[in-house]
Amino acid sequence: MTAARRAGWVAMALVSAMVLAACAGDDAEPAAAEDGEVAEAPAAEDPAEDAADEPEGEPIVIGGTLALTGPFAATAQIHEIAAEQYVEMLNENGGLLGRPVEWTVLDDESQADLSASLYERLITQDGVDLVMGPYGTGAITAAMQVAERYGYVFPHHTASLTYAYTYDKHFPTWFVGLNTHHTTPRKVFEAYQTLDDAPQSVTFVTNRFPGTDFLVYGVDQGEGALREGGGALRVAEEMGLEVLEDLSFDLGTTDFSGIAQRVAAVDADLLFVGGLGVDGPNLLAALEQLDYKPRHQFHQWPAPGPMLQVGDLADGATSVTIFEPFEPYLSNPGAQELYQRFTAAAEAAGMSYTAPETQAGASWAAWQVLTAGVEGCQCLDHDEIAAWLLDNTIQTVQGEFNYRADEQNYGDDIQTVKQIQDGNWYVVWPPDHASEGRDMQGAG
Amino acid sequence: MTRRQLFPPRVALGFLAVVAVLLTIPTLQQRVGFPLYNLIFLYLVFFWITQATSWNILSGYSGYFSFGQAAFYGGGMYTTAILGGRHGWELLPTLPVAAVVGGTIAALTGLLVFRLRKLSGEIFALFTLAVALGIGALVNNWGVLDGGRGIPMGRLDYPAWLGDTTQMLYYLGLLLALVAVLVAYVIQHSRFGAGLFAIRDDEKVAEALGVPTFRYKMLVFILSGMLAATSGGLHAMQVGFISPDGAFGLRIPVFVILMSVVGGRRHWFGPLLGAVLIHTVTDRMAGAGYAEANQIVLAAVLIAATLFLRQGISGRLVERPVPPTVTFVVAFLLAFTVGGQTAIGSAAVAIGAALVVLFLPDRWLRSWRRGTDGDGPPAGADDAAGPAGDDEEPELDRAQEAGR
Amino acid sequence: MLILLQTLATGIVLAGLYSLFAIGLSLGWGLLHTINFAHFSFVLLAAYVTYELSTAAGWDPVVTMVVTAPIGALLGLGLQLFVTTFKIDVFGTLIVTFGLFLIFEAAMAMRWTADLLRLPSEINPYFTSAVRIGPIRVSMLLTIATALAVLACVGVWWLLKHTRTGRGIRAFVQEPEMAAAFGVNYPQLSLVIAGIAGATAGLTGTILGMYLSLTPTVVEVWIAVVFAVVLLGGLANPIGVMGAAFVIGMVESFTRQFADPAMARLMALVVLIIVLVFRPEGLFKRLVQEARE
Repeated sequence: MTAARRAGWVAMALVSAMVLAACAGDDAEPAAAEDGEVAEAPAAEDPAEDAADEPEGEPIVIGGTLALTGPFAATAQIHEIAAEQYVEMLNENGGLLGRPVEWTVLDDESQADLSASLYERLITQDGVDLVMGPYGTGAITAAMQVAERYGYVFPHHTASLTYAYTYDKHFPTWFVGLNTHHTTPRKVFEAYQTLDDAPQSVTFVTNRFPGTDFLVYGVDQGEGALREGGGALRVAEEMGLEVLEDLSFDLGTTDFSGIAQRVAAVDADLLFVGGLGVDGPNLLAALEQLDYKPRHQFHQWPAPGPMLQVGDLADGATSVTIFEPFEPYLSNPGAQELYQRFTAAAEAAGMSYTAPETQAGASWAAWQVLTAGVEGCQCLDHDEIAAWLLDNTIQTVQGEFNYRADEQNYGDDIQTVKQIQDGNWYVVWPPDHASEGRDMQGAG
Repeated sequence: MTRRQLFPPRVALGFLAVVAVLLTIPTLQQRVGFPLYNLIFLYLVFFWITQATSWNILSGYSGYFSFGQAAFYGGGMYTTAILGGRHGWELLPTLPVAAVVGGTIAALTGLLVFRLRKLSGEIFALFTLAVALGIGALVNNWGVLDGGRGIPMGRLDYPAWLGDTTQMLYYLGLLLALVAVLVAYVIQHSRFGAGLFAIRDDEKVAEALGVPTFRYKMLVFILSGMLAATSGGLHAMQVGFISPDGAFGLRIPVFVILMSVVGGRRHWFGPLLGAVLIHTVTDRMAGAGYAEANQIVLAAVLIAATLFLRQGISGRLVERPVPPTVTFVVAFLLAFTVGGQTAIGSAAVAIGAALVVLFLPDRWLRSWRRGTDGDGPPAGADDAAGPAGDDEEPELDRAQEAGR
Repeated sequence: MLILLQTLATGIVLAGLYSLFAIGLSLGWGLLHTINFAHFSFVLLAAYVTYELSTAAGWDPVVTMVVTAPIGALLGLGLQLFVTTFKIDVFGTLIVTFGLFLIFEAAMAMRWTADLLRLPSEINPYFTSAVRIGPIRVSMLLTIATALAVLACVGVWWLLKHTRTGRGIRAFVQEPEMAAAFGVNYPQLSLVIAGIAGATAGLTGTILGMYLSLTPTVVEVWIAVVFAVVLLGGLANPIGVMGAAFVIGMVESFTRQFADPAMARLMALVVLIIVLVFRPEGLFKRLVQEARE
């Protein structure tokens, strides 16, 4: 036998085994139970609970992926904890439509393409009843196309490229408005205008990462249903701020000395950091080495913990948020549960920052939207759920959502501005959302 | 020396049979109604076969080990994303353009490294890595290409007879994998391939024998780039959101190297086998939250294969086909019927079992083999003959033939 | 003028960190024929050790070097023994150590999770403080890295040039048979080099532990630039490593100061590609070849 022929036979054997396997059909058993990490319907007996509240029957399976490993895992674990807690709470209170809920989460390893194929698996193999979006712009944008292919209602919590989402059954809870590249910076600059020492000039430092790039530079007019081109940069000019410097850097940049030099050299009143994660603390440390502290500083999506760990440097820094553990947010429906459950679970998991904020709030709201839709139409039909969500006002921890089909299922930009004061984050703008006794503070 | 037939009837029949069976699956899926995911799973297998094979005709056959697969894959992906996602082209016309882009990147890189200087193997490897990362950084910075915001694919049009998106991906993925495997097969059995093998064994000797080394290296580099880029372009449809990080990152080169080294770099069948094995195992383990365990297992297999199976699994399989195949089939049936696993899950279990048998040293199997001598492979039973025993002599002959 | 000097100073300390990172890799490749991809894992492991000792045991992070350097050295020795036992060729070492890299990465993800771990500024004043030379300021942390790098590079250079051990190693790498005939005990000498290379990885780890927010994948962004320094520096040439790091550091520093900062990495890669095309042996000679003159 020649090598090639033998290889041929082996190939035949292999292929026929695979084909046999594929045809044998394995849709009979719900594969979810053995394939995924399943949030078990808790059997915990709460004496206070009424027996009638016990969910009964075939569980409703909700599937999704999260970046449990890889570079995005640091933030994704917030969403994992929030989801676990939400599902647990749901089951303790009678489940969904009276049935218990199972959450199947698969690990997309921070890869968008993996996320897309795992949603295909959840929908077409595991046959989940509902899906929940993954974490992160890339994964959500990829997974949404899969959801669209199969007509699944797609709630998602952390997607930032608002213009790209044309699917009529996607429901964002990063509820920043379709034209966030205009509304968000406008809100921030307005907050700064209330100060006595309102900034007259601004320096932009932007990470070339999809969400941050979109906010600062915007897109060409006409993408999706966007009304405006340009981004924060243009808004700043329109509002009379002089842009002294506009710097961008690569994802993964660790040395900020050169950028810090240039920031210090032009000495603008406001430093606008279109960065994420630990970009802010790194830049601030480099500025500190120059003995330079910006008079005002805004950070787009900083990891909340590391910002506080750099101490005085970040004092007075602002950011945008959609949920913080303060009134009036804590009066919103579900906010108390989120606060108590999340904090306890995050402490148990040994996380460095345990208070629920933007990320956890977005996650919780996404689950609230999904359950509201199901309970609203009393069904698991995706068209009906979507129709109900579009027709009704949804109550969430962030406040009220009115999804508007003509705005690609976005609505008003409900973000608020938060600021680090006395070593903690507080909401300071707009006044009706400000934490008790807090308002926007100027420099020093 | 007699001229060999390129496709002996059995091989040709084998190819045809495999392709015919695979072609019926989407229709079967619709009729019988087994999970659609199996189609997507098979598409991903095709994708990895194409990528690994494309890498292998360059790096396995000629010995120029590349870390730069992402340059072609990402280049193709961005071609389709820019033309289709941004400028509204249909899918199919973007694929030939992707091939041209991939071929051009390969040609330019090849001119630099093969014409101006002859880089040693290790430096070539890192040079290709630098090229891929460099293109990634360029895409990330240049707004015309991307500028860092990423490109959502949206829906691209394609001819309706290809079916829904999943079926379209399946058919086109199968076609590309078939082309890649045929290219690899034909190269291996031609003077071209013999020349490449000679380059891998000793480039100076090959030159002395009259192998046109520069031309051969350029040709295989460009072919490899075209295949990888076309496949990357199609894969953009599956990925959905294209970002410089994902397109030019380390994941693709890591996996194609893993697949080819584990599968075997000296045979067209090696990367194919490696792709099937590694993708199946990864698909089961990674999604289920065992990404770390999966990474450890795969890396351990990579190390073990490098240390103990110089010819990769395909080398060992060709030499000793029966025990692992039997193990695979038995384990598969057991897992599927008794264990109640899904089809893909059973395949993953069976692959694990077959791998263990493959790695067993020869002498452990000897007693077994004595019992069934009729089935066992006649040659290569002796350790001393070595895994290469089967291939080496004809290759030398062919190298000389190529030199004429 | 001041801005030029400042940019130069920033580039120099950046170069210090790069050369500290690269010297071990360069030694292993040039003298031991081991392209040690796991070098990056050794560095990250040491960074986590620094984090643990500083937060849990309350050590000053700089002092943790007395632990991380020996750990790195042990890892280096272990790898060298592994490579010699299995007689792995240069190319094999690249693949095998790449496998080790993946194993380390997964293991560290299991141990330390994906959470961002950063030393709080109270126990890590080095991160935010600066060294002042007249009007010029540079990062304290990078200055420490630069001092260590100069020590390591000059020390190794002296070892190779002026000691019996060094001469023996160079002789062996050049002409193994001849050297063996003259009684050079390569296996033993190679362990010395592997240990030194590993120790520099440990030191680099301590610096990075103070410099970065640690996650299991954080070293990946360093791979390209460190290999660039190794390749440009000419293998196993400590002075060359410093020179190459200087070139890369300057390219990045000047790009960040005077052009679009996002182009810095791209410029460094372009320099690498150009140099490799025209001088594949690197900008600097291999130290081993000098012995031939």
